[in-house]
Amino acid sequence: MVIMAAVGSGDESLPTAAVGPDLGSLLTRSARGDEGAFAELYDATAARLHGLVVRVVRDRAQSEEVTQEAFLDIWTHCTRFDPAKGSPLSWMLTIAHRKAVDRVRSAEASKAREVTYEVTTTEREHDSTLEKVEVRLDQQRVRRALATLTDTQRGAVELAYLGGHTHTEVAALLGIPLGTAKTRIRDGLIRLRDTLEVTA
Amino acid sequence: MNPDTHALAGAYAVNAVTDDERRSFETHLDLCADCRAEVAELRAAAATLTSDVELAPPPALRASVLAAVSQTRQLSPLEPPAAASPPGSNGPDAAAEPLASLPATASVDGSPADGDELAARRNRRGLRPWLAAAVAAAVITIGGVAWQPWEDSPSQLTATEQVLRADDAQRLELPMGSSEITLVRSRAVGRAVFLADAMPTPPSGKAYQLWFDVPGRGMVSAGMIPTSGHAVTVPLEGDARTATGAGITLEPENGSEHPTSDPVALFSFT
Repeated sequence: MVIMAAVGSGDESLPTAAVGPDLGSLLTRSARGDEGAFAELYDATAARLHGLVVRVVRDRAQSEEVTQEAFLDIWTHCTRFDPAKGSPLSWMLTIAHRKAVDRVRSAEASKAREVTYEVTTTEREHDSTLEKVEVRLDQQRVRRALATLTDTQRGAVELAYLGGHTHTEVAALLGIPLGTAKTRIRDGLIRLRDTLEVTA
Repeated sequence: MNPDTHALAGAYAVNAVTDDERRSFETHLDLCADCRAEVAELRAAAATLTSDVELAPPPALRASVLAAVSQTRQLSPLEPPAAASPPGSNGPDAAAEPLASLPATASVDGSPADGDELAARRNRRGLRPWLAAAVAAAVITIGGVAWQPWEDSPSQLTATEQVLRADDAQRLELPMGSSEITLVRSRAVGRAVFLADAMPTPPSGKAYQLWFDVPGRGMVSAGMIPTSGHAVTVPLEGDARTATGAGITLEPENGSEHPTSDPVALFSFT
């Protein structure tokens, strides 16, 4: 049996989710087939998930499809959500991110996606490209945490997480050895975790 | 543990891996609590990268999602894996704790007679033709469902995964070279799986062969260990229910019908 450990049973585990309804109980009720609870869950998290999906996928129409797929996956799988394996929001974001990455990789295969991802222009690029961007209360905190990453760590993490690239592709994009890209991604995430005191 | 394997935790956490890498790392995750914890934490950390961005999807999407939801059946919760054996028929090891770190000798249970015993068994009759073992060696590529925060039903899991996740999984570990070898056996699943971080390269023309110790039949070939020098995960060919132990010997590279050398490792199930 797989255990994801490092328990973060509540929303406190993701610093950004401290406000709003109790996602855990909404998820539990959804798992019992409560569509009303799932609607609440959607309302509480759709903007966050869709924001992530758009950052990765870029294309709006495709992003909407991906967000919908993610929520359907959350609906079908919430019966198996285990709070011991991470917070509800982290779980939902993981599903959305995986769907987004799968989408861009398959789209890449058909050349449907703009693949160039300029590391130098990732700095808050979305501020100008996304509408209705809501600045979260703790944005400063996250920015400060990001600032503790070296430029190279941050570049590698962003190419991987937001660019949807594999570590091999990250290495190629940055012109660095394979092992180095892998290490930078991990070290960058570890530093982010430690600075933000994220548990799981 | 191979530090190179751990190093993939970051890339894995943010889906920056190929499907092959994902499968391979998930095999590792099954065995490595540290990496499981790290992946969970790094996923949460990565999520903060977009915590400053919220973008409400169009209202129509909400209606569309909820309409689809009302027509979509949810998966059944995962039931605990089947009990190891029917009540009342527990074998001697059915309730046994997985054996943790074992002594760094070839003889798992510390019995010095083991090597001799194995040698004696070589000559017994009734050994299964080793032909099937060749097949086992070809089945190294273990398919895998995505290792995700949600679980998939046991029926979707490969035999290897079922063994590794079984509640009654019996885990036997031995040091080998600079690495560690592990044998996991589940009576409930009826299979065993061999794992190694990095198998030592065998001498030229030789290969490592797996054996089940089956009462009344002696050492029965359970397949060859691929000699990649890399991490290995191989399901043992044959029924792990009746076997009382497993062993590894160095054999000609095409395998042998019976063990022809002293065991380099022995695992006792009892």
